[in-house]
Amino acid sequence: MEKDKAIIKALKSTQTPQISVDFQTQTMNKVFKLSEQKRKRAYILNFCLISTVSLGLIVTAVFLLKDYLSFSFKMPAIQFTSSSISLFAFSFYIASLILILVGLDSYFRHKWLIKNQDKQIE
Amino acid sequence: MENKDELIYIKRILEGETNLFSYFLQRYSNSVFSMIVRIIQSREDAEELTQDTFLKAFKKLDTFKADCTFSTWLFRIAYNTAISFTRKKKMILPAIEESMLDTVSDDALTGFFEEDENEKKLQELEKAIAQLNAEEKALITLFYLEAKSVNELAVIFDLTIENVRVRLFRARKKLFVLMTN
Repeated sequence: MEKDKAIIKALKSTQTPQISVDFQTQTMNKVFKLSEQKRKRAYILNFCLISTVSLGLIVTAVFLLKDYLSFSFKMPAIQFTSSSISLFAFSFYIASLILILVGLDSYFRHKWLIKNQDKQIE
Repeated sequence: MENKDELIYIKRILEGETNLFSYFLQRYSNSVFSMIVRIIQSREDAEELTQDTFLKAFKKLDTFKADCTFSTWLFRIAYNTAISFTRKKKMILPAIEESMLDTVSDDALTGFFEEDENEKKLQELEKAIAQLNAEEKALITLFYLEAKSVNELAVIFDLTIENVRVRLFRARKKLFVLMTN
């Protein structure tokens, strides 16, 4: 069958129309649209999934705390004494310190990433 | 090596580099169109089906298992798309009685298609090819023009290797009958 030169020649000489010039551009535009749709669909799916799981976890937690551990959701009455105020001030100081450190870490990481990207482009 | 490169491209496309898909379009759009236009015989429809083929390939790219080359997988999609279209349009082609094919001996076929200098014979052959059914046209186009192996054709047409050989042989017999009658 490999020797059937006449068939190859007949197939080659058969006039087949040419694909239009802008075929690739048109198709790529559609591919980009499809890709965008795919991305959106994946985002919505992820969002729904995370929301459902989160809601489920919250409901389970509330159910467990309320029914099994007899947890009361009523806010306890807070009485401010001098010792509680100093404890609150200390906690506030530690929390602020952590926030500042985390903020600085994030800021420097961001700067370092941008610097690295610029180097890669160069 | 090319197949390895294509696998890397596919991986990158799946990771979000959609613009790399243009590589496959540039490389295969003409061959896919050429096969479809031979089956459909309408330029506009063939172009639309070629586009459908590439869009389907893009949509299903994550299902490509790399157990065959990308081109084989793409031609399979193209063939199925074109065949579904012919079924929808109910394209009718002249039928040849099976008994007529059985009368053709294997010896008669030997060397019949080897001579490629006789212009009249080539014209008759072109006409005969046009009268083959969609599957036969696709088979001989991919086998003779795209130089696909019997193994690759088996994947594209979802047939066994032996079945592909039989169908190719029958297509040649059909061409012989169409040319001699």
